[in-house]
Amino acid sequence: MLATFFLMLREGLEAALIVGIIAAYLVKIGRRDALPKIATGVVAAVGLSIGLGLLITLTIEKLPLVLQETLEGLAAVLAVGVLTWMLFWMRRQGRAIKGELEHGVDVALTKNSTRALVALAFLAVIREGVETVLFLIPILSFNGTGIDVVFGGVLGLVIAVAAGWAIFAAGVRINLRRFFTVTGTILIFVAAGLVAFAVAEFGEAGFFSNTGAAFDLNRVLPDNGALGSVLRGLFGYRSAPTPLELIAYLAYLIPVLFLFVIDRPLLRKPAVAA
Amino acid sequence: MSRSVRPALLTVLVVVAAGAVAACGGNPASAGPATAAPAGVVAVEARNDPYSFSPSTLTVPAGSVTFSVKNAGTEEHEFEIFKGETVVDEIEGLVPGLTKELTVTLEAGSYTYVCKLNGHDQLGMKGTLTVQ
Repeated sequence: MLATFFLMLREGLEAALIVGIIAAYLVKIGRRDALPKIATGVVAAVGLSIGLGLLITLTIEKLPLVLQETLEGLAAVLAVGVLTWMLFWMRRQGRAIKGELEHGVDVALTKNSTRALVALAFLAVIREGVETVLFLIPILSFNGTGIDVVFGGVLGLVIAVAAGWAIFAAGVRINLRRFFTVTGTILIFVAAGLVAFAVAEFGEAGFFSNTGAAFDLNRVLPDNGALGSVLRGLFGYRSAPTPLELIAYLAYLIPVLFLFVIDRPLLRKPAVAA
Repeated sequence: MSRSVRPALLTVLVVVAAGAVAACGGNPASAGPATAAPAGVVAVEARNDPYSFSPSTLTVPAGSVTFSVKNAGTEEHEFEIFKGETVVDEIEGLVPGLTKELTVTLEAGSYTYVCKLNGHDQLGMKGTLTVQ
């Protein structure tokens, strides 16, 4: 039961995190009216995941490995692109707000930025959605598993969604300045995890050799254990990444974090005069 | 005015995804367990008491082979077939109790099957597969 729980938790967490942050952001900038569009994107992605998952299971059981890994790698790259765009777009908005207003700023959402947010929510969900459905179908069909395993899987997904909701609820409460800093930083780690994930997928697809281990924390903090699953679901943590995956992770993380952080003063309130 | 049109990008993504599935539906080369396995089904058990595959050596004839892998352990496992350092094919999401099948076309040669999840291969979760 626990193994299934963690499997489903880590599949669902990242999507829940991204959608939770987008929704909280929209509420914070006074654009609740855009929430239904985000919801539409999420529902479309969930529906499409279920449809594709069923179709694949019923027709071919399994995508050819190379195609599967390539698609997952491309989806990750696409998600990194949109996420990075969103990070700096949010920061630009934050700069305009100058961190003085905490809510109800009514930031102008252009058609394009709304589309990008919807696309990001859609991508975040469908990226893990199809795989999750492919994992869930044999589990739900009791193929050698018991009710506890089924329960564990469903509970993992429920907790992931609940975590997304909690992030949303917490996000709308904290002040805008802190919201930008915290969620921006979190999303940079998420995106870096996606970059490393893409490298792993393209490596498995055979585009280049991706072997060895930069470090090995399998015995200390396994990525399928309790904390490891959460970190893997959120930030793409791997307990034994290959050197190439680690390099890719850092090559994204360090410069983007730097660019994000050096601009932070612009997000701050003007220094409070004592 | 009225409600806005759903973003075109979404439609594009749907079409792309559907196209991908349609495309691979037309390529039965590495799938199709329903029709495959003239050599019969090779049963493998994954365990973690200690970490191992049973059996740990297999010999199968070249061509289409179906592996039926049951997780008889208490942790999540994977079943990955390697030719050297390249993954040939794999089963993922193998939670305790679950049995999953994998049909793969193999040329003659030496392969390994391992569970790389959480370094289980380093704890002995590997086997050698000879295809002749």
